Amino acid sequence: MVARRFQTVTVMEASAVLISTLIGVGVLALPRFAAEAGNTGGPLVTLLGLVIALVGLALVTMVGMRFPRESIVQYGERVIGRWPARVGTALLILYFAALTSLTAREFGMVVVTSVLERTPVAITTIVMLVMAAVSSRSNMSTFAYAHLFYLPFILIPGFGIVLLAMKNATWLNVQPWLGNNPHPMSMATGALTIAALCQGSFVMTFVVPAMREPRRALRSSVWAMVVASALYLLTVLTTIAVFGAEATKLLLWPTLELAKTTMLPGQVLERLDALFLIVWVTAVFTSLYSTYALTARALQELSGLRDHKLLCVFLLPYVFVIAMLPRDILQMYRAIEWLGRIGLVLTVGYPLLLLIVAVCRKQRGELDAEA
Amino acid sequence: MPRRDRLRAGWRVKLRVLGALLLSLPLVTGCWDRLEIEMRATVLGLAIDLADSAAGGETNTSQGGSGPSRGASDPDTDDTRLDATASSGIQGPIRQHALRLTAQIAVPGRIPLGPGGGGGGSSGSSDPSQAVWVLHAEGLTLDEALQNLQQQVADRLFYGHLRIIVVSEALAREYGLQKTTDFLLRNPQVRRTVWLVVARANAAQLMETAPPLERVPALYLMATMDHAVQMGKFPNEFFGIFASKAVMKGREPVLPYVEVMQRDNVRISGLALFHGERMVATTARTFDITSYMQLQGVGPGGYSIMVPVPGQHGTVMWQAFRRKSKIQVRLQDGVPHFTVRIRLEGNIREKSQSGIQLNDPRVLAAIEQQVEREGREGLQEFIQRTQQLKIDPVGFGEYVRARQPRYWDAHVHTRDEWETLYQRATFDIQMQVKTDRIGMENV
Repeated sequence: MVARRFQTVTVMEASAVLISTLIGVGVLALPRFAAEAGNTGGPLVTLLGLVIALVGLALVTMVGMRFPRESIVQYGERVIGRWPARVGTALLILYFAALTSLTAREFGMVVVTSVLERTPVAITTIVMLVMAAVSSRSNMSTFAYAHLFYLPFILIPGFGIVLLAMKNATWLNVQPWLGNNPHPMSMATGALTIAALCQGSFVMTFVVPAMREPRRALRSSVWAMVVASALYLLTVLTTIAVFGAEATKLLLWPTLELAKTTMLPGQVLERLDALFLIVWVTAVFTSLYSTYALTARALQELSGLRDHKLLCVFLLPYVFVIAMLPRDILQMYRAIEWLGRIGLVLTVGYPLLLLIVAVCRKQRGELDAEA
Repeated sequence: MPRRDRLRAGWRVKLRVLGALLLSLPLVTGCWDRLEIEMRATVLGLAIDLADSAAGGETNTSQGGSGPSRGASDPDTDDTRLDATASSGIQGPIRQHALRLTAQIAVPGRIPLGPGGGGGGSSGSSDPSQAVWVLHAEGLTLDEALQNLQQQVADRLFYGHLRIIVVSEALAREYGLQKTTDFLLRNPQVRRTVWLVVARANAAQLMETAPPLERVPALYLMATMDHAVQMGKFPNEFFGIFASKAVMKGREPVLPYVEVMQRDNVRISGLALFHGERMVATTARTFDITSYMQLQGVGPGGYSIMVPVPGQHGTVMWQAFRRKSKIQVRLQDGVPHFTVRIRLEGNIREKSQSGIQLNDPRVLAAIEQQVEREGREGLQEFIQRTQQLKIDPVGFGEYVRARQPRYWDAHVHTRDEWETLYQRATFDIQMQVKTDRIGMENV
C-alpha cells in the first residue's frame, strides 16, 4: 500500500479539483452539442447529461469512500480478483491516455484556428502536454493546491462573461424548453456526449485516498457538480438565447463566438474572446493536469512502481502520438464524441460493477486511526 | 582519488549547463505568428459592389496576369474586368458577376489616437483622405477579391479592426449575400459585431467619402450607426444578428439601408428587408423603422413624430423615450392570431402654435390619442406590407415556434411554409401612450 504519505486534501480542495477538471476544453463546443441534440431543448439535454455525469461521479466517490485509503486500482484487485481488475485498470489507462491526447489536440486546434493561424498544431498541442506532464510529477497535496489556486481564475471570468453576454439574449430562442420536434433518441445521444465531457472527474478515485476525511468526499463531489453544472447550463442557455438554436448548430465553437459578440460595458473591451481564451487555457490546463495525473498514477500502481514521476515523462510521447492521430478537425470531433460515449461504459460501468460486487461480498477498506 | 572525482563533478556541471541551454533554445526563437503592428495592413472598411454596376472611369487594379491564377487572360485587352471564363476551371453562371471590392486600409501613424489635437502640428493628419488608403480589387467571392487585394498590398491584410462592410443594393437584391457572409463568419479575425449595411446604388462611394467630423471615414460610418442605436433611432442589427436570423425559420434578417447624400454624408434611410440572404425590399418610410423597433420592444425610444392636435390648428412634436412591447400568440381558426401590446412613454418637444394649451389635461389626452392612433396605423401598415411581401422581419414566426410548438412542428418545416401561413395571420394591436414631460415651458 503506497498511500498514507499525503492525506491532506480537504473537502474544499477536493471540490476545487473536481470543478476545475469538469470545466475544460469541452465548454467551447458544448452549446453546439446541445443544440444539435435538442435545438431549443439544448439546456434540457445539458441537464440530462449533467445528471448522468453526477451519477457517474457519485459512483466513483461512493466506491472510493468504501475503501477510503485505496485507489480503484488497488481495491479493484481485492474486489473482483487480480486479473479482471488489471484488465479494467489497463482499459482505464488506455482510455484516459486517449482522452488526454484528444483534449490537448482539441486545445491545439482551437488555438491554431482562432488565434495563432500560422503556428503548427503539433506545437500548440505539445506545449500543453509538456506542461501537464511536468505538473503531474507533483504529489497529491500539490495537485490539490494547484487546482484550488487556479479555480477563481476560471470561475470568476467564466461566470462574468456568460452574465455579460446575457445582455444580448433573446429568451424566445430557448423556447420551447422541450425543443421543436423533440426526438428522444437524439436527445439521449446528446446527453451522453455532454456527460462524456465530465469524465475527467474520475480523478476523484485518486483524490479520495489523499483526503483528510474521506467520509466527506461525497459532499465535495456534489458541490463540485453543482457549481460546474451551473456554468455549463448558463453557457448553453445564454449561447442558444443569443444566437438561436439554428445558428448555434452552425458554429464550431459557439462559446467562443459568444465571447466575441460580448462587450465589456463602457468601451473597455470591445470583444471578450481574448479574455475568454486566457481563462479557457487555464481551464484546459487544469483538466489536462487531472487526466494526465490520473493516467500516470494508474499506470504506476498497475506496474507496481514506487514512484510515478518518471512515468509522467515516459507517457508523453505516446500521448502525443495519439493526439496527432486524427487527420483533421472533423475527424477529431467525431473521435471525441464517439470515444467519449464509449468511455462512459468504462467510467460509470466499472465503478458500478465494483460497488455492486463489494456490497455483495461485504468488503470494506480500513481507515487507519492516525488520520 | 579526489582529483578525478572533482573532475567528474565538473563535467557533470558542464553537461547540466549545456542541457539547460539546449532546453531554453526553443524559447528564444520567437513565435510563428509574430506580426508587428506596422507590418499589417489593417482593413477598416469594405465596400462590395457588383463588378458590372460599379461606377466607370476607375481602372481596375486586379488585372489579368497580375496573379498566378489569372495567367490565362490576355494582358493586352482593354477589358480589365475578370474574364468570364478565364482560368481556375470554374465555368458557368458562377463565373460571372464578379464582386468589386473597395477597401479602406489604415495608414499607420496617420490614425489619430485621441479626439482632436492628436495630430499635433502636422497639416496632413487633419485631412481624412490621408488617414486611410482606398484600394480596389475584384473577385468572384469576397475572399477571392481580398486575395486579389492582397496582391497589391505589401503587408498582410488584417481584419480584426474591420468595423463596417457596405454592400450595394444591386448585389444584395440580385445575388444575395452568400458569397459575402461565408468568409466573414469563417474568419476568426472578423468581429461578429461589425456593421453590415446595404447602400442604395454604389457602395464604393461610401468608402471614398471623407466626412469632416471624423478623420477616418470608416469610423465615421461606424459612429453614424452606433450613435443611431444609442439614440434609439435604429435597432442594433449588426452582422452577427443578421447571420443568426438568416438561418431561423420564423424570422427574416434585416440590415441598415443607407444612402449617400450630397457628397460626404450618409443618411440611414430605412431597413433592407431580406428573405434569407437575399434582399427583397426596403422599408417604405422612415417611420417604419419606428414600427419595427416598437414591435421588437428594443432599446430607448428615440423617434419623434409630428402630430396634429385634434380640434386645434397646429401640431406638436412628440418623442418617445421608453417603450415596451408584448406579443402573444394563439390559434384562431387554424391560423396564428397575434395580440401586440405596446406601451410608449414620451415627451412633447415642440408645439407649432401658441394657442395649444399643453397644461390642459384634455389637450394632452387628445394628443396622446392622436399619437396612439398614428402609431397603431403605422404598425398595421408595416405588418400588412410585410405580409404582402411574404417576409416576416419582426419574427412573429419565432413566437409561434416558441409558444405554439405543436402547431409549428405540424405545419411548418421550411421558411417558406411559415411565410405562407404568415400571410394569413391576423393581428390585434393595442397601444398605450403616456406623456411624461413637456420640456421647460409651462404651457
